[in-house]
Amino acid sequence: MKSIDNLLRTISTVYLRISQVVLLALVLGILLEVFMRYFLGRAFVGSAELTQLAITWVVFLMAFVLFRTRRHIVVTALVDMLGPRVNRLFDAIINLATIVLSIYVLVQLGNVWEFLGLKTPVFGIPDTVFKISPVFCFVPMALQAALNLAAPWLEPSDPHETEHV
Amino acid sequence: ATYRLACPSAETSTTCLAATHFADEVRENSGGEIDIQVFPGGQLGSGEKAIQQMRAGVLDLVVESLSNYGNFVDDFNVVSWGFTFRDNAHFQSFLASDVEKEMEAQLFDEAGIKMLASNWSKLPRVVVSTRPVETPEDLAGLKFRVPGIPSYIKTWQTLGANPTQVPWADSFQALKTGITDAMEAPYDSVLSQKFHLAAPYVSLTDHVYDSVTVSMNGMRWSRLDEAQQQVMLEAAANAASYSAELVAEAAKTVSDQLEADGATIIEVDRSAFADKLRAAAEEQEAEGLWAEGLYDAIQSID
Amino acid sequence: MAFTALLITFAIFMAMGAPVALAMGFASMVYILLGDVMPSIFIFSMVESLGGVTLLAIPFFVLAGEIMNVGGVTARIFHFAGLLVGHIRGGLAHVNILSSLFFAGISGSAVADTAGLGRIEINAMTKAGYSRAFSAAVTAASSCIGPIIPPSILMVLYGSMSEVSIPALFVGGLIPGLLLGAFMMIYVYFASKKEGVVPSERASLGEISRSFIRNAPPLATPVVILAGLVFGIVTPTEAGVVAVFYAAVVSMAYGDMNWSNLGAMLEEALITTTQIMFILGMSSLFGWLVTTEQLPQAMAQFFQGSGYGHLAFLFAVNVILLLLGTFMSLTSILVIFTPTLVGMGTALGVDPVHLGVVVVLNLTVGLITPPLGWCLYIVTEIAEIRFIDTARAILPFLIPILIVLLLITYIPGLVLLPGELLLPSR
Ligand code: NA
Ligand code: NA
Repeated sequence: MKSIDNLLRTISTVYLRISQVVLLALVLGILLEVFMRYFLGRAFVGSAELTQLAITWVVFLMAFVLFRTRRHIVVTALVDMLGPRVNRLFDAIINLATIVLSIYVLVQLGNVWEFLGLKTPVFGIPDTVFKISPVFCFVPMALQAALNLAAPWLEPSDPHETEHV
Repeated sequence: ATYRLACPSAETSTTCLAATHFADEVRENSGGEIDIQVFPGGQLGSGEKAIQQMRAGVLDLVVESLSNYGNFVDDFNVVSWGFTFRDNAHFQSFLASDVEKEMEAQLFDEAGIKMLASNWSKLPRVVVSTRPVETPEDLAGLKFRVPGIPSYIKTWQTLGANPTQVPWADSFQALKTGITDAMEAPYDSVLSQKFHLAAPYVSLTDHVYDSVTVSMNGMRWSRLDEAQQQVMLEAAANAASYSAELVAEAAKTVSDQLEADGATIIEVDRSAFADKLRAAAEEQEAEGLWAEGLYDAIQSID
Repeated sequence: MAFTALLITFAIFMAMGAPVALAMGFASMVYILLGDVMPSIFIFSMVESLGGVTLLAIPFFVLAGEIMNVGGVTARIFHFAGLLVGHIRGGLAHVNILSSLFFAGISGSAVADTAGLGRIEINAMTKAGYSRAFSAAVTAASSCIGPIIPPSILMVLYGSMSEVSIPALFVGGLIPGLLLGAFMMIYVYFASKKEGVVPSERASLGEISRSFIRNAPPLATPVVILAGLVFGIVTPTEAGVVAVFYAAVVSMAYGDMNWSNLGAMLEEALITTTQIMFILGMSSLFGWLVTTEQLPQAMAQFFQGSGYGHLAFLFAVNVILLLLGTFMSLTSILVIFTPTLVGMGTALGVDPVHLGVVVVLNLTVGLITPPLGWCLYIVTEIAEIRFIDTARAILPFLIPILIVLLLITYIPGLVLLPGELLLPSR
């Protein structure tokens, strides 16, 4: 149990670091692009493709980080009123459903794989490079959900993240 | 059975009107057995993404430009290369030729897509500019807006223009403020986006002849019986002549309105442009953008 | 049947405290298993819904707000607002509202306003003698201006889903945002009588102008963003990056920037973005269903049949979104309902920009209405009072907000006029 938890913690940390670097790179890259366009009159072809790729990956990587650290948006109005025993039951059901959903997504991805023949126009990035990104989210997420089921005492307590809108 | 058809343009566009015409005829002649629902405005996706979803069976039918199939069979890339065709008659002969039918067969075998018709009409593409463009020499040094697709950039670079990237939504503003001097666009977009109010010279370059196609997921096609397939093919062919009428009418409306707004419409000598692009076309062919010998084969079609 | 199963599954899992995004994913799975769609649409729509480049503006606007917070800009804004309106009856309450108005031009979210300015505002007010509940309520209510004055995360989300111009939405929020500030200040002027706190002395013109010169750069952020967008110099995404750059330069010029916080700031931006975009991705099947079932057309016919057309529609939008906003996640409401609402609005002749601003204000009210109101939670924690006290104190503030909501709902010009003047080409 402990070793799986450590593995998932490492994955989570690595995902977060990668995402931070990518976001910073996007800020600098887009800034450079705006600068080049208006002061040097040169446009960088294909930046939209790279941006799309980056954001797709970042969202799926971070979606696992948020799942592990329980920072996805959760509506707690009802569960706050119920006792700890009911909450534990609900948690178990949710973790189970997460495992089912993860497997379902992976199976569906396998089914469409042979149809993903597109490439982006400028850099020729295969569509599969975009569509594989959920795997990196749902595999560790299913593992985490299984771990939460098997060893609920390892799960971090609720940090009560707000919805930033 | 019910089938979903994705159409990329507005409900009242020539493309989607033709699609509706097709759907209606199929419904009637199949005795209501084949019920095609048309989803206009790109609601269910558009472009190569929609074609990919049709391949995977999420969509049943897709109405899209012929040039978009270059993503699935390389040879269709030749369509989007500038000045490949001498004139509309040449393009129509190509669409009816064995060369094109061979490409369609390849599309069915390799990508599992059945093209029901490849010859629905499409409004021509034109160049709008702040200075008159009659010959390739007039393009020299013009800051020219192109979409971010390498072969487009290469085309206009070869012709002497200075390709500039501006998002489609900002094109009007770019012409108006002098960020660009010229751009290429579909004829009707010039009017709907009011480009001619910022750049009053409209050159009828027809630099790319493209058509609208209607295609079906190959598996679903194979499951239809022969009579049903015949109904589909006939309706697709009939929609082609219907769309030709619509497009001719639309082109007339556009040019009348443009002239009424004070724009100058310019006829160009297309052969001067085509000559400049021939060598570059051979380079593209050598790079494998389409099969070797295809460009010449197309040129030898009458 | 499958559709009902989808809604029930979503409701049950959300009530059980599942992440909203996953609840939507479970519901989609149930629909696909029961209904008549190709399962592979789930994969396509999930990944491709994230491809909208405009969405990338979200992390950038969050980041810009974070940098301004860390860089001490917040405190400067509060100080400057104090010089301007601190002497009116209800002094610090007005300062509180005006600060939020200024901060709204920097930050894209109401929660960022409450979390960033809230501590300064509530501490200053309670120290001056205002009741804790009133201080908390003013703070929460005024933060609602955040998503209305540009930039706005909710507007970016609405715009990228409905392909409505983001600059037009941003410009459309200007007058409603100013109206919100004005009506709240009117209410506060009368409500403060009961509080019985003596306002501060009027600042001299010299003091004000000196402070203005020192504090003008952060106050000019919305001008920088809007000018870039209105003149077509930058795209919305690029405007977000320019805002980040501007925030960094301003904070560094003040000498308050602490770069050791960079990692934490990036993390915060990533969390917010992922919360929103994972919900978007997992709910994308819903948009497909709305289209294929032709839901908007059917519902638009219902409203046309009622004889009141778009007026009845807009009223229904207000009522339904206000109700849903009290207990549901705002992102999920926006993601689920935008395709239907825009489709219906178009069919009934409602301008999608107008509709967008109305929708966003409706949702924002959800941040300050119990039982689920994130801004209420935050101010309750800062003010160290009971939730019920905050909830009671916030109720009267709904009056000025609802008045503005009705005004902008039924006088579209309040939203659309600035756009017609500033964005003539559209
Ligand atoms: Na704002
Ligand atoms: Na405030």
